[in-house]
This record gives sequence, structure tokens and C-alpha cells, in this order.
Amino acid sequence: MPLLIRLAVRNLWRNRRRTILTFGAVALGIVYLILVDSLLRGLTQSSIDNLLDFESGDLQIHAPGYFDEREDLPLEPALPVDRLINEVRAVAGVRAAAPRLVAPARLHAGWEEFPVVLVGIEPELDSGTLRIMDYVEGRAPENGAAEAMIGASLAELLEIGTGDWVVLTTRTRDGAIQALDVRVTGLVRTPNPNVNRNHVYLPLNTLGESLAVPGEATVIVVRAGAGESLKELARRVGEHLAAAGTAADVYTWEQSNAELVALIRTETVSDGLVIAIILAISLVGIANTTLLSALERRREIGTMKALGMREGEIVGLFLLEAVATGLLAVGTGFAVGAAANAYLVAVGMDISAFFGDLDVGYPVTGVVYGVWHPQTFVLAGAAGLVTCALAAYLPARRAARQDAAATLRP
Amino acid sequence: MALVELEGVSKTYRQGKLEVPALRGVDLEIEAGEFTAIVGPSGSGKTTLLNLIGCLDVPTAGIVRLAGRELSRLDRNALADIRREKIGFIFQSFNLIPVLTAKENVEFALALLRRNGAGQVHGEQVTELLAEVGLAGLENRRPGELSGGQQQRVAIARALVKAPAIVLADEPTANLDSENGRAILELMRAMNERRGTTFVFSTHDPMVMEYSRRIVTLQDGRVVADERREPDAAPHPARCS
Repeated sequence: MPLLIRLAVRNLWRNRRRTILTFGAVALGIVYLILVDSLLRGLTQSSIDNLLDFESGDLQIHAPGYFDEREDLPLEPALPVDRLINEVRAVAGVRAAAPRLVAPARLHAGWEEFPVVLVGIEPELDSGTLRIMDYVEGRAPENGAAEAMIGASLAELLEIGTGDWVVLTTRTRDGAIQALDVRVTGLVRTPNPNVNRNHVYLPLNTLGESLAVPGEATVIVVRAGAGESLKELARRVGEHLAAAGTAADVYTWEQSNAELVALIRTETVSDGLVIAIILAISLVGIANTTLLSALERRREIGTMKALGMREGEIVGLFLLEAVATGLLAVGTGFAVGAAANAYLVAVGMDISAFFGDLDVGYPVTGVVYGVWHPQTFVLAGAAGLVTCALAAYLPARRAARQDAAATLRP
Repeated sequence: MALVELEGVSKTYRQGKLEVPALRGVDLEIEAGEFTAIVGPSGSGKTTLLNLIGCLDVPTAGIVRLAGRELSRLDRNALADIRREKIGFIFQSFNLIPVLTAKENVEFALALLRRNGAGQVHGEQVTELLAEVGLAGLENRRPGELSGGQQQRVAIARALVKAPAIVLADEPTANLDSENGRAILELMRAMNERRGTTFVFSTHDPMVMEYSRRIVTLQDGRVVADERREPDAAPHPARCS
């Protein structure tokens, strides 16, 4: 091993407690970055999966003019289901499609009353498109029957169980008040808290007739085949429908869920903030270590200069020590970070312990799993090493520029 | 041409607003192979003079030449290169690098020299040199495991390993007892005679003066006496270890 590297390693070993504390702080930052990034990415992925699997699908087709009013859940303009659904399913790249009629309502159970979202579905088509049916406790409502399945959290809040009758009040397309007596046939307990909290599912034909929009849907949700570009598919579906003489607008889930997309972008910023905090920890730690080391080794530096070491070489020696500290930190950070992340990926973290039923903006509930993201390791490692070298540079240069004659005075 | 030439050299230190003259117009020449002691009371400018010859400092006025090169014209890197190639240092407090063994301390000077493309001494020769200064079998000890006398021998080996033009020793016996001090002086005299290396000391120690062939006396930054002694006047090295 070259003498300078040996010297750097032994200098680190000489103050091993300080070295351990320094690289420990940097390693901790790296572990923190890996885990926070893993959880945030996991949270994002779960959010997107839950949104796509239980609410929006990959694409949404609306009648022209509906999209801008969608927050109010209007019943018109609506789409003709029978004609449209087959046209949509005929487009290459469409894996499945299902119509939905969505309307606002109030659910009455005894003295309790709660605002809900009514969703009219065709259970068979819906189960091939979204995954609500996989999470039903009880059974799905039958076509034409006055039956409903409701979100499990809502049911628990209102103390409703399967077999109970509830009243739903809403307005028809013409604005007339409509009250629906429906029997609860199932509870929906999905990983998506929005669905669990305020969704009530009825057969599409039951709801359509009750709201005076028979055979119509406010949205057709579409699932794309694997590897399909959603923008491209949206364009193809739009062109196909236009060619078939149906006026409809097609949106990707990102267009329909701008708030969630914005939240995910905010998360990227918070990732940057985490990196900045880690860099700051590393900067302070390494700069402090190098400064102390330079002060303690004042005479040693003077001796090295007397022996003919150039200032740049002395700076190089300190940088070598800083980079070695950084390598220790990166190694330790990777090992601990990988082990902890393996746990997060396999077992996950139950965020309900932190947030309970609180709406934190992400459509997730229960356990959030980490993800492997090798780029984060590379980024964390590079950030650790570069910061170590940068942080050491100024104290090292200051040490190297010391007046050798002054430092050598006994 | 003398190995070291000082012409009208002055050095003034600034302490806040106060100017403290350390050397005032010193003229001095030291020939290759000399064994010279710079003596004088504390504050007379001995260490400053050594630092100027050793390229560790630059004069406020005057000219310092080493082997014909005017030092005040050189930048910091060039001065560092001269130190690594031509000058060996021996310090009062030994100044060995504590994390390196005796052998590695000596090799360190050599490693620097090699970075300049010079220096052909190999590991075995370092071991031989350490044996020559009386440290056979102690090569792998760190400074903390060596006595003061042994540490100073390592410092001598470190100074000599690159075959420098001149060795500058600042109070080399000040931290040693008289027995070790004498042994060190005899060792340096032996190296001076055997290798022809020029030695310049700054010292208060009468024993160093006893061994020196030339004694330059400084007072208040000026050379007030320059005494050359016949080779026989100084004690002859009886042993090397």
C-alpha cells in the first residue's frame, strides 16, 4: 500500500472514536436518505396503484364538457354506455373498460347522515377493470336490484352491516330529489381509504334509472395493456371514438388527478431537502474533523513541509483521509440501509399507526412497503463522498498554508 | 562557490503593529562538507537563520543562495522541491510522524523524493541506514516506542536518506541527556566525515560547540564572531551508535 494511503488510514485509526463518530453521522444520513426515499417511493407507488386499481383506471373517457365540472359530480353531460363500451374495447391496447355513473348523495342510517359518492357499476365489467370486487366482504349488488355495497370505514362509522337497509338521497338529472332504499350486500375494504370512507356502489342500471339517466355513464374507465403509453393510447381511443361518430374526451389518470401528481412532485422536492440535510450533516462533521485534525497535527504538518511536501500534497493527504472517512460512511450506510430497506420491502411499515384515518393526501392506508431504487444508493454514496471531499478542502488548505517555520517552533 | 551564501540578509517579524528584527544584515558563507554551529543567546536569530537557509522562510531583505540558486526568487512549490531534494532537517523535538514506524518515517522522506522522479534508495538500504545510526532491530517500532535518543537517530536517518546537500539541525541535543546528546553528535560527525554531508546546527549546548569545526556567533541578529577550528580541535567520533 502506498505510504500516503497508509499514513491516511493510520491517521484515521489514531483518532478512531472521532472517526467513528464522523463517519457514523454521515452513514446515518445515508441510511436515512435510503429509507425515506424508499418509503416515499413506496408510498407513491402504492398511491398510484390504489388510485388506478380502485378509482380511476389508466384512462377516463367523459362526455365533452364533463371534465371541467367533474368536482361537482354532475350527471350530465353523460355517455351512452352500450354504444361506447364496445367501441372502446375494440381499440388496440385497451385491456378492459367499464362504465361508471358517479353522483353525489347523502346516506341516512337511522339518525345518522353522511355525504357519500354513489358509483353505479356493472359488476362483471368492473371486476375485469378495477379491483373493487376483490375486496368485498359479502357480495356485490345484483343488476337491477335495490342493493348496494359500501365502504367499510363508512359502514363502521355509521354502524352498518351487511343485510342492513340504508336510505340514499340524491337528485335526478332533472334536479328532482330522489330517495333510494337499498339493502347492503357487501362492505368494501380496499387499500384505498377514499373508497372505504365514502363510496357506495350500486348496480349501474338501478342507479341510472333512479337518477333518470338510464343506459348512460358519466365515465368509462379504461385499463391499458402492459407497456402501453397512456398518452398514445388516449390519443388512439379519442381518434377511434371520433371516427365512430361519438363525441368524447379521453384523459390519462395523471390529467384527472393533478392534485396527486402535484403531491408526488412535492415529494421529489422533499427528497431534495433530505439530501440537503444529509449534505449539511456531512459538511459539518467532516469539516469539524478535518479542522480538529489539522489543529492537532500542526507540528506534523510543519514537519511534512520541512521534508519537502508541497501544500497541494498536504491538502491531498487530508482529502485522502476525508474520502476514506466518506468510504467508511458509504460502506456502513449502504450495509445498514440495505438491511433496513430489505425489511421495509418485505414487511413494510404500518402508517395507520402514525396517521390513523387521517387524510394525508395519499390514497393509501395500512402498510406501506419500501421499494428498491439503486439510483438512490448511487446518489447517496456520491453525495456522501463528494461532500466529504468538499468539506475537508478548506480546512485542509488552511492547514497546508500554515507557516512551517512557526509550526515547528518548540 | 559556497554551498550557502547569505548577503546582507535581514528578517523582520511583524507582531501586530510592532516590528521585531530577527536578523540584521547577515553576511555568511558555508562551504560544502562543513560542520558548523550557529550559537548565540535566545532571540539572537539562530533559528531564523536556519529557517532561511532551509527554505522555510524568506528574508525581508538580502539574498540567500543555496547551491547557487537564489531562494527569494522561488515560489512555494519550488522551495518545497529544494527542501525535499537538498535539505535534511533535524529538530529539537525530533518531529517524527507518530503513526509511522521508524523505517516508514525514513521511507517517507524517500517517498517524497521519488515523487520528483529522484531517489533510488530501496527498502533494504533504509534498513541498512537505520542500522548505521544504531537502530538495527528497531525498524518497526513507532516513535512512541522509542527513547528520545533513538527517535533522534531516526530523525538523522530521515535527514540523510535522500543524500541531501545540507542537514540543518535546530538544537538537536536539547531534549536529550548528555550521554545521548554526545552519541548523537558523534553520529552526525561520523556521517559528516563518512558521507561529506554539510551540517549546520543552531545550539546553546557547549557540547555541540565542542564538536563543531566552525562556530558562528549571533547576537541581536548580527554575526559577531566566526571561529574556525582545526579538525583535531574537535573530539573525533569514537563510535557511531
